[in-house]
Amino acid sequence: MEMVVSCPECDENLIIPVDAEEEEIIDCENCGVEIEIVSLDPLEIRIFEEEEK
Amino acid sequence: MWSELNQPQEELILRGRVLLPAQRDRIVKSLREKSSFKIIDHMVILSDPAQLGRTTLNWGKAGQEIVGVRRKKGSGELATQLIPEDNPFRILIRDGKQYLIQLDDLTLGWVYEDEVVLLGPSLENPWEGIRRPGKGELIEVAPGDLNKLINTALKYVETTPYLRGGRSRQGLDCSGLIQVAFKNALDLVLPKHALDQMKLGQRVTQFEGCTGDLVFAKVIGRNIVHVGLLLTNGEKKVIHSCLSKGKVLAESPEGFLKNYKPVGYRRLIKKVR
Ligand SMILES: [Zn+2]
Repeated sequence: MEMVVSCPECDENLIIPVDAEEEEIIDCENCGVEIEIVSLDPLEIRIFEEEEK
Repeated sequence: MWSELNQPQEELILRGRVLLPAQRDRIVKSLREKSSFKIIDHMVILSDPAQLGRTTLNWGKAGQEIVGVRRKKGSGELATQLIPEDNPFRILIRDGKQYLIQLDDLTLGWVYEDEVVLLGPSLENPWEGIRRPGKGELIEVAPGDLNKLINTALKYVETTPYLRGGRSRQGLDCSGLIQVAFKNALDLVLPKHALDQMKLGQRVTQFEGCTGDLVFAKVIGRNIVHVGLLLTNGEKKVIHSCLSKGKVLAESPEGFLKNYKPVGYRRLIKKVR
């Protein structure tokens, strides 16, 4: 089943796809921020911040 | 930027210009927190292509074979590059001998006036008709176009060095290779940054990933997003401009996975008969 959590940036619902994988990066449909899936069970997410190249 | 106070209606009207939507959002948010007045936002956002009619000082083209577009005024750090074959760019700000420009892929950066040729401020919008793939969207292409995309990317393999910000035969960075391949093969304009490219098209899983899809990956041990183009018919390859190996490569998935950890796959195009 799809998991729904709140976006750490905008608080809107964020859907974690059924076939999501750990370390995958998805973006919030509402605010566009990149979310990194740290672990799936238990679900842990965080905002992905890219380093300066 | 300035504001007008409309006392009887208790309204604060914001006017003037900011470069980015985020700057406007910050101003509006902080005024909302500090003031009980109703905030009415009439600010112009210079980088918003929907407002290009009133925010374009002039249009221009590269005046030499390759023009470095710098991230900051006067710095050597490349945001991207311009070549004469590119669609015209627009000038947002003039500061001394430098212009802040926006390319057709919406990248912003600084160029020197003597590196470019001006085309005139009243040019009929040269960005009309540009195809930019959007989020969730799949662009239909003929089966031959997929081969065209791969062959275009393969032309750079082993011949073109890695160059951060590069988008020319002088050098390509990872997202620059993808941008150039999609533009030259399919006439599609993608954003310059890998994270922005990741917002396009449809998400696919690693098992669904096939020829023409993009693989996004983190450089192992670092929070840097990298992008490559998948080739799955025949021998599996990832075509990418590799920072650590210093050039464009067509690498086996095993080789690729030594330096990169995939973080997502995206499909931008769909084959139709
Ligand atoms: Zn959000």
